[in-house]
Amino acid sequence: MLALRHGEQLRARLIIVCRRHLATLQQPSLTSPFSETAHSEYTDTPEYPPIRDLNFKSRKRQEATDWHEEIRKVPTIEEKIIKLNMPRYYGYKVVDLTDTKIPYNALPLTQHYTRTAFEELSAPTPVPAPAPVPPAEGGADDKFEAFVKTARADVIDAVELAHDDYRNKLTLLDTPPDAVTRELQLTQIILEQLNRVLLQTLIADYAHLHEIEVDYNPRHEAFWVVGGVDPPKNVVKSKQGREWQKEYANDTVDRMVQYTGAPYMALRHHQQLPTWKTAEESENAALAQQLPRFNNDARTLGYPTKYQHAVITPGYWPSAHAPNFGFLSFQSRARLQLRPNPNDLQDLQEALHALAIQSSYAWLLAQAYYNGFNTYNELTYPMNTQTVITNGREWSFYEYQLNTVLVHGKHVDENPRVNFCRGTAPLPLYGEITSAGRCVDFNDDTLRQLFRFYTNAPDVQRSADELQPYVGGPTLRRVADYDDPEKREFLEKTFKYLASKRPRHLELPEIYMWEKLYKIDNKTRAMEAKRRFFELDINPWRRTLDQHDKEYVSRQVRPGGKKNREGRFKKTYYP
Amino acid sequence: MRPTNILYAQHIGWHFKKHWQVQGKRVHRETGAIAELLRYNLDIKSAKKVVNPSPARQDVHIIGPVVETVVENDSHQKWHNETCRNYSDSNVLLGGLAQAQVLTNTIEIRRFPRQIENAIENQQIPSAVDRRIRNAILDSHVFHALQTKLPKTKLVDRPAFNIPRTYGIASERCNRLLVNKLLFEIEKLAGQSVTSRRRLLDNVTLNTSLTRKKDLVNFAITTDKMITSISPLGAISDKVEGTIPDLFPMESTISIPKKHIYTGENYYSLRTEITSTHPQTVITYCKKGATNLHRSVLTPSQFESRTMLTAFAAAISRAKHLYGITTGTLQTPVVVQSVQTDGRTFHFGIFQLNTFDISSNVQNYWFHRNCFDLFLECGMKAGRPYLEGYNREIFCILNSFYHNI
Repeated sequence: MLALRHGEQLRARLIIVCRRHLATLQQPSLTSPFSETAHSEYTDTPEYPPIRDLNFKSRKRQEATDWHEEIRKVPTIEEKIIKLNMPRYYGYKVVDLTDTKIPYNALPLTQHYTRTAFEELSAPTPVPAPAPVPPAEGGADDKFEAFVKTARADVIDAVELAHDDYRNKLTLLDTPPDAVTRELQLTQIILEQLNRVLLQTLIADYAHLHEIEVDYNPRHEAFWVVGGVDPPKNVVKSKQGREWQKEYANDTVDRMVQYTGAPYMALRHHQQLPTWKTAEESENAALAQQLPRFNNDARTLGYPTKYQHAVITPGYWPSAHAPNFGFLSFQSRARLQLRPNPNDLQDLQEALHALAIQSSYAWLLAQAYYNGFNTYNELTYPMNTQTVITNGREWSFYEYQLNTVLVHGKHVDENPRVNFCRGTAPLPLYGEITSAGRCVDFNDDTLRQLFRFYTNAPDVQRSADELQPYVGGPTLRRVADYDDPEKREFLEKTFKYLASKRPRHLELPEIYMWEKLYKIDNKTRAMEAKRRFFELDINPWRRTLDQHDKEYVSRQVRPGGKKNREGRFKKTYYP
Repeated sequence: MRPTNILYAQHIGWHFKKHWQVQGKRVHRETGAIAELLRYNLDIKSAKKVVNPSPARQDVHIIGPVVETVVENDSHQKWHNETCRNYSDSNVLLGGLAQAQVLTNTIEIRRFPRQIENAIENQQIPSAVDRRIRNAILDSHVFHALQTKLPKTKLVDRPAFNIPRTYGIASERCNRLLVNKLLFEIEKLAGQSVTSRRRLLDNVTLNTSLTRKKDLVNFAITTDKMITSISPLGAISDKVEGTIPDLFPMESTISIPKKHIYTGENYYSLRTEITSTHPQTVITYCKKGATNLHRSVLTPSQFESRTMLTAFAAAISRAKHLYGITTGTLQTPVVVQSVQTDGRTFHFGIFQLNTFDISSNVQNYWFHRNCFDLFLECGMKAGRPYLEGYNREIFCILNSFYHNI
């Protein structure tokens, strides 16, 4: 005890001496040329580093936040998407949402996963579009009605032509295609005809239609992360098995979601559509709390899961000239015929709403990615789109406003922002097509609604910096903006490789059954050399995207000469 | 340690299993019961079959993409005993344009009619449209985010080497996008007064047949895009002179494959009651790497012959559809414009059908120019999109074709 006490005293003295010594050492530096910088280290009020909560949960949360911040700081759009994929060489386990399969009771899940408040519009023409018609002489509404009147005959003609054309095509076939294919083909023809008629009718008076870009059967894909899902049994068990994780065993987990869709047609524009919910209305914590939650695993509904990389594309690759904002998309409902009970109208209605919400959200999210945002970095302005689901005869009209993309982790509970969708029940465009090819019971209201969508002018002006706040700046938005050709090429190839869903050259290593029996469950081969991955404690799922052999550069083309060993392998530029 | 030891360690019981397999197949000793029963003419059944009768097999009706294969023999609905020369989308004339001329009794004129030439010369394309067309080319060739597995490519010098498959935009999609975008620009320029007189149709099938000496020649062609018009194109008033090449000793139908299964009847896709059914322009896509009978790359002449025969088939089927005659000379000629593209190369021509007959003194006319390239190269180079050697004349020609009345 005595010795210890003595030791304490000694240490205290030593510290005092050291302080004095340090103080005297700092004296001469005041007179040095760097004295000012040294002086600026001191402030009147002390600035302490933030005190971090060091418990397990907070550390994990901090790690995640740091990673999200890293993604935000990555300068180009493509690199951000690659960065999102970096943690998994074999891809994430994703819930596979598609436009081809909407299971029963999918609406609550859809609303939870997309954080969407849905509003059903009952009347056939309820949407007073904010500024559907540009201010013109002689009354806007009159002019609008005049357009509807003139286009009516052309639209009927187009519908009849499409039916006639397709009916003739069917007669030539030995074996007619199944009902789904028939609907897909016929609707594609009708839509292309109608789109042509509407554009030609309106283009002279609505200047925004001049800049419209039409995508035919584009590829719409988006990836996002959803929180608030109940943990699976194995996760609960595993956490319960560890003393320090027991209290977190029943915490909700995140799920990765990948949407894949191919609408008939999509129209894009350089500018954004006007919003129909204000910023104040969009931030509504009470409404956010009331949104439906689907805590069960998505597989309980019938959604499959699969392993794949995060693929994000709104129909085109990032390019300097592409119109970046969605205007209108035409989705298919052909596969809803295959539902177990196609005559259940309530079920069909819900499926249509779910499809509209999913497709609108995914397309807008993909556009948001192309403006530098992502599932972890919040939007700085709202985005809007219009969606039509049709089979040629029945048309449902939806409008969507994307206010937030944060649904992961705690944000599912805490984020006050909500996305909005409003839409109609299916409206018939015509009663039927007679055997003579005549269109009967044409519905002007449906046509009027379609006109409203086309005449809704995208007029939201934002500066380039405002549009893309998280990219590298005006000179560095896309990979193509880099000066280094090698880097450009590498990043472009990696980006498209990830998006192609091409199977990996070597498949994921597998534990064979006999190994499970004789090596893992029963250690019968203790004397054998441990060479397999599970014996070396390697988890192949934890392999990151950059863990692969570098590409060899042959001596003939090696920079720095044949003998240069530095340039043996090609450089990689993973973000 | 010997490997056999490890094997034994895992397969302990293997011998027992094998032994039981042998023991399980016991052979019954012959008791003579069967012979005795047979002697009394008694029916003998296996006890197992009485206890577990095998259920009757039922055919499963599969819903989905499984298409029953059509057997190509005389049980086929469209089987004919006489063979027919069948010209379709999958073959080209080996003799190229010369053979097509003889087959269709056509004079070739290496220019467009005067009115078209004038229209092309007098065109002013705004620079904004020019920029949009450049973008349209890039969009359809580079920026469309479709990634389908593309067909295999081979190196000429190393035919056995397997190149990794590339993923990208399939040529059909690329052509469709490009043509749609070009037509969209044209229609924007033209305005509603012109566009309301035209219709655009996709994948229009045409079927027609003709007799050439002894042979029956069937044309079964799908045009990928057809522009129809309310009024038919007027006859070309230019003075035309030319000769038809001599193919002797070859027949004009040589290299067209013979088939027993065909429909001899005339088929034009649209009913006459519908407005705007006159074929104005037919546009066909040529697949990248399309081949001829010898599986060699198409020659320019073969490529051109395909453009002409598409126009010819459209004109014939329309004439038959309209007038109902199958031989002789037409009072009012049928004029059809034809365009063929592989996404880069474009070939334009105008066909005037004057007669059905091969040996008539009256001949059909084929006005065309050499193939044009819309651009020299387009794609991604070192991570940047590039478009080199863009040729604006293509758009001018297509535009004047669209406006032609």
